[in-house]
Parts: sequence; structure tokens; C-alpha cells
Amino acid sequence: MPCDAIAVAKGQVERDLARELEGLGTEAVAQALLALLRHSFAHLGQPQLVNLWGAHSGARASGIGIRLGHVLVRISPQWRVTVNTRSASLPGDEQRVQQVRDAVTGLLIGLAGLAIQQRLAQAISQAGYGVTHQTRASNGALVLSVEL
Amino acid sequence: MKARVVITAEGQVSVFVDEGTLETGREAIERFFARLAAQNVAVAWDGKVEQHRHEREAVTTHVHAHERAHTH
Repeated sequence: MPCDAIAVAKGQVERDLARELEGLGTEAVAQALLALLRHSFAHLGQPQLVNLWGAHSGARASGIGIRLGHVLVRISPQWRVTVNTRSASLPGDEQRVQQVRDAVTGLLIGLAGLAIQQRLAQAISQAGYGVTHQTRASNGALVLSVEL
Repeated sequence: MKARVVITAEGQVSVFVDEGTLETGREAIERFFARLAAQNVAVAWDGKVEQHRHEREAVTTHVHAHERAHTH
């Protein structure tokens, strides 16, 4: 982390997972999830987008639904993640469900982090500051050289 | 005035001003956060501005020799 500077200030932008993912759009997030599941959970089957239906109303529900073999991933419009199996449990299901849930949650958090960095970088440009260089630190932080 | 802005995935924003004085740096940082707020990006900042300028000091080494007299 750069340290040697004449003036240093640190602030915090409120992290709102739902807001950041909303900004990316449901379709983009769904495609990222499909890519993750296709890459990391190929042994469970080919991931497919499915329609979601309300458990009580029987009406079509919004959100993202992905079937992966007999594992069903549901992301609510509030970006809550639910993973379960569609049929009777098989040996190892509990672990599989946990692994998929952790991976999906991790991806959503990572995407929200990228989105917040992108949103801030855009705001800096739109505020009239010239960004002369952009790079990424080893910890994933976005580092902008800015003319204040 | 050259500066670096570091944005983490957790939403922490650090501003490192590399030119001018502490006072002009403070003004630039205040203006920076105000302009971000005008873009609907509110950065919670406690108003603290620190100076992180380190002198390149020569490293001094102190050697302490302890002599012990052993009598048997």
C-alpha cells in the first residue's frame, strides 16, 4: 500500500450488496453465475436457467433460478441465496449444497466489490478529475492516479 | 496536484496527495469528497488528514558487549 504522501485521508462508502448487484443487472449476474457453475461444478451437471415459482402463490416469481443436476440455486430479488436439492437427498448432498452456496455467495460479494470500485471510478471521472493511470494492487484494490 | 486514490472491494477509499503542503492537500481532499457527494457517492470520512512523509534515516546499530567474569 502506498504510504509516503504529503496528505492522506481514508473514507468508507456504504456497501450495499443489493444496490451494487442491481447496477450490474440481473442478466449479467445470471451469466456470471452460469459461468462459475459451469467451470467449478461441472461434475454436478450442465447449469441451466429455470423459471422460479412462488411456493405458496404458485405464481411466477422474480429472481434468478439455476438448475445444476438435482441442485437448485435460487437468488431472490433481494439477492438472498438459497440452494437445495430438488429431490430426495443423496449421500454427500449436504456438502454439495454448502459448496455451491459458498461459491455463489462468494461470487456475488466479489461482483459487488468490483461494481463499487467501478462506480467510484466513474464518479471520480464525472466529477471532473483527470485519471492519468489505473492499476490494480495485489489485494484487488483499484489504484487510480488522479490530478486533484 | 498529483494524488493516488485507492478503492478496495470493501468500499474503503484512501486518498494520498503527493504534491503541495499538508494544508493544500487537506483542501484538495475536502473538495474531492464534496465533489463525489455531488455525484451521489457519499464517502463517510471523519475529517482526519494525516501526513505520511518519512525521512530516510540512516539505520543505527547499537552493539552491547557484555563481559562476564567467571570465577570457579
